[in-house]
Amino acid sequence: MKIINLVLKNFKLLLRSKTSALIIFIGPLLLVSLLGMAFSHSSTFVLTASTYSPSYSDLSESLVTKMKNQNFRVLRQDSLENCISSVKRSESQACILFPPGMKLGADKTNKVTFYVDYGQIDLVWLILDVMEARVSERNTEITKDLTKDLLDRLWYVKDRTNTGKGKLDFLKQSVDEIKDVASGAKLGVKGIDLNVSFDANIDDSEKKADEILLLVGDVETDVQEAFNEISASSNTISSAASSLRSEAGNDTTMLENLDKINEELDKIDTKLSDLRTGTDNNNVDMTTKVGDIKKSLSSVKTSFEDAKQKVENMKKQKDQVVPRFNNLTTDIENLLISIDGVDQLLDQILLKIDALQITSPDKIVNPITTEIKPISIQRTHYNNLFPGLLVIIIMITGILLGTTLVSVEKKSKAFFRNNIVPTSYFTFSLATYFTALSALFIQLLIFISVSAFFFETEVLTSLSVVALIIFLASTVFIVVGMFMGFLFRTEATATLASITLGSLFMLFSNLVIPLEALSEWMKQAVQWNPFVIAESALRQSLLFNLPLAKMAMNLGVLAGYAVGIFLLLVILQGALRRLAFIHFRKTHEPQMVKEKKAAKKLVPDISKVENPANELLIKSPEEAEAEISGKQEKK
Amino acid sequence: MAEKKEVDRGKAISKPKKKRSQNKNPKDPENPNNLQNLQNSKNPKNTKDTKNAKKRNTEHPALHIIKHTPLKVSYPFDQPLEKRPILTIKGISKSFNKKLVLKEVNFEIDKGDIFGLIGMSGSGKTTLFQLMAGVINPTSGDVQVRRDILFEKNNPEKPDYVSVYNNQTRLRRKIGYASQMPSFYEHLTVEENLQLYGSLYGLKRKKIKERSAQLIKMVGLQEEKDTLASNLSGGMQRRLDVACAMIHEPEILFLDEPTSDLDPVMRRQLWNLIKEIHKQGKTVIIASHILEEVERLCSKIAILHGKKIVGYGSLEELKELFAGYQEIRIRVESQDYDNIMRRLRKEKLVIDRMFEKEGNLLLYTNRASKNLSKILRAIERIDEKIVSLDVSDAHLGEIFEMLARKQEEQ
Repeated sequence: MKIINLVLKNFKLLLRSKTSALIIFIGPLLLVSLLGMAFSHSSTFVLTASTYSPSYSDLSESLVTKMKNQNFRVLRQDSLENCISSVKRSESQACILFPPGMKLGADKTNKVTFYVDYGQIDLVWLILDVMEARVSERNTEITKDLTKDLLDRLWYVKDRTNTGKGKLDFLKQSVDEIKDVASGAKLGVKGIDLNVSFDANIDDSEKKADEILLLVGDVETDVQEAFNEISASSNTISSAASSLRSEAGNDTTMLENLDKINEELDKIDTKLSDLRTGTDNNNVDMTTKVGDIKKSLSSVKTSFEDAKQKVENMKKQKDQVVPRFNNLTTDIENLLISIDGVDQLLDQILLKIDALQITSPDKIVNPITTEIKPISIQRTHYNNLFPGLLVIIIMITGILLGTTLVSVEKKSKAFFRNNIVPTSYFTFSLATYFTALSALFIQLLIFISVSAFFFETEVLTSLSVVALIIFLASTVFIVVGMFMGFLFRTEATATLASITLGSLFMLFSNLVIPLEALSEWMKQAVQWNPFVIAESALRQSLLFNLPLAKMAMNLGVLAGYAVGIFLLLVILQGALRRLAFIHFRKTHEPQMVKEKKAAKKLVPDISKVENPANELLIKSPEEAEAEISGKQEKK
Repeated sequence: MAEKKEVDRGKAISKPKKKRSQNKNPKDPENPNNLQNLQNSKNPKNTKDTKNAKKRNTEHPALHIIKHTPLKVSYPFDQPLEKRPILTIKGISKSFNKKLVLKEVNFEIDKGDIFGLIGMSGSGKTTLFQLMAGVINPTSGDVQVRRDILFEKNNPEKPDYVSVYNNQTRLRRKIGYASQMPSFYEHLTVEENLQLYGSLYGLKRKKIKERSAQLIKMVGLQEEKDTLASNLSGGMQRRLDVACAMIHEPEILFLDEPTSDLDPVMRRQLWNLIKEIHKQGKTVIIASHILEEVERLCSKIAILHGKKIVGYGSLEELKELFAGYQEIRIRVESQDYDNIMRRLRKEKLVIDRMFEKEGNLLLYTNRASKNLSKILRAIERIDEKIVSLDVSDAHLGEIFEMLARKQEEQ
């Protein structure tokens, strides 16, 4: 109940001071609005670069054009001194010096120089990185073109090699065939049996042809005799048949049989006549043909003579050709070996070409590509800065509120009465803490709500963890502020000390100078900076959605700070408040006396006029006597 | 048989009356009332004789009494606890950074008194007040409060008096303190201040409301209850301060210079308020340098001077020390009082002190009746025309001054 009343009292005092109310409520609104409007975009920084070259070439112009296309402001300077001084005057972030007549060539090295101000330490690496990237991009493009050209030629070579290899195979095949043919021909030639016996007895053949003629005649004669006999027989049979007919009478069967015999005899006669004709013809043919045979035999005989001659010639030729076939085979084999050799070379060439794993010009020029992927879900600079902004607000507000509340109370007229009421110092300190925490909570609520609503900051996904971190950080900074308020006698000094401490916290954090720029021992020490711890924890939670378990160390340290400093305050506050009370008495009581004396000089106290004895208590008897004696001396 | 305990308080609170010196010759150097002797006694350049005379018997009889009569404080232990003093200050000394501010201060305060503590500005009244209220700790000595004030159940086995420094939390519930500078929140209204302090004193909400309304009415701030304290006039602020000190119905109320910087009208209003509080049975302790205030309000007075209590008792008791000691106030037309004082010195009258103040000549003597005619004749002889003449009894101021001078001489 006491704490609640004290907190309400503190709020009334805060709100009744218009400036305080303004700062508590309007401050965060103003802050979030300005920051949101300033940083609520994701575009990269727009940098300004001054360039200078004694003579710009196409290549340097292309680089400049490329930079302009990439959201760079490019200022051309007329001298290197002006270019550098533009950086010194902060007109541009870097000065780029292009060599004169910059172009690609086998014997040329093109060196582009960047002049930067390392004082802008938060920007210099970005500037260098961005500008070098722009120049390197052009470099890369040129390299790519060259590489592409090389690769194209290489594929052409491969293609032609493949084609050549195909033809080579065909050639090889053909040579093989030739070899086979040659071998076969050699074998064939070698195998030609020219040992022909021309001892064929043609004369005997002629004689035998004559004999055949004679035989044919004999045969003809025999055949004629046979025909005559057959005819005679047929006539006999026919006569017999006729006689039988007359004897058969009505025997149909016999008649039929006799008819049949007559038909058959007729057929035989026909056949016989045909046969005779045929035989005659055949005899004629045979005679003719035997005659022809005799002619042929004589031509054959002639041909035999020719052939014999030719065979002899062929033998001679064969004897000449066979060794040549041997040479031919050897040559063909050598040719095959050469073809194999060429084939192998081509295979090697193709292997080498095929062994190229990287065949894309992009990949040759940039074998390792980098891709920068944001690990956070935030899209704008504002959202990425949000954790840092939150901690800044917590720190500044927490420290200043803590200091101000304590200092104002120490300075307040009510401080005396607060030290004589039966309420412990702890209750007062707790009330101050809760007041500061509540005011900070209101500020943060406004800040976070506006950020979430207008600038789409993702907060709700990890609200409980964020709330815990904010609570711990707020406690640390508020209690530190309260300490400052107790330690220093005047509000101005305490505020100054708080601002200094806050500035130190902020300077030795990632917000102003990267921690990586500090010396090693300092880096280790700064890891214990509560600002750094709180900012890191909030970043992990808000941007990366890390679970609570992963931030246990950070939260543990923050909690340790909060508890430790609070306990220290509880332990020391009695002494600190007593000191403050002594100081309060010293500053107020003499002041009162001075004020009263001053008032007396200005306005006579009527009551003293009424009772002059009162003056005795202001003037000592010696003073009164001295006054009288002084007057007497004057007279 | 009541135990009597002697405590050297430096000055007498009650003493046997001694006969005054029978030497009435004003010119007799042996006469302690010889003005010259008295004057010489102030002047360190005086002769040895004067000093010796001083040693022998040249001091004012009242001073002599005070010096040589030890203060007797009696604790009537056979009396019930309720009738004993509510607060006893025992040998309190206080130093700040080795600078002694108070030295062995002793006195008592009875329940239901309006007790006045007077002293010059810077004499240590506020320090003594704060020591009595337990706000600061003494270098040595103790302030004790009656046990039944702090503890509801009286344990006969426990001592009747407890130190305020060992029971600060309980004490704070039973005392109210209104300091020299009004102590409240300027940016809260009258009612809000009272409600806040009511809660800080542990009162329940209903009680706070009730008490706030009562006090607002009592101090006459009904129309200003919703006004911010910073917008109140000086007198109203003082009244609010008193109300804040009273919110928890304390048994003892400390008022440090309650009417300083107030005009006479406001002052009288506050005096009436104090009287009203006193009527409620509260013990009120007032520190003031305004003697009229103390004279009007206080039943008992302690005079603080030179780091010690130089006088303690009721106003009548103190005045009794200086019975016959009177103030003669003369105004002449020419206002040339130096001439008159020279003349009076020549007359060698027994005048303790005389000086000019605000167009009047003030003379302090314990022989006003005898000296008056001589004084008037002396004035007439130098052809001065008397415009007004007033003779009155010694005020507290004179008593204070006398005691203070005595302290310095010691």
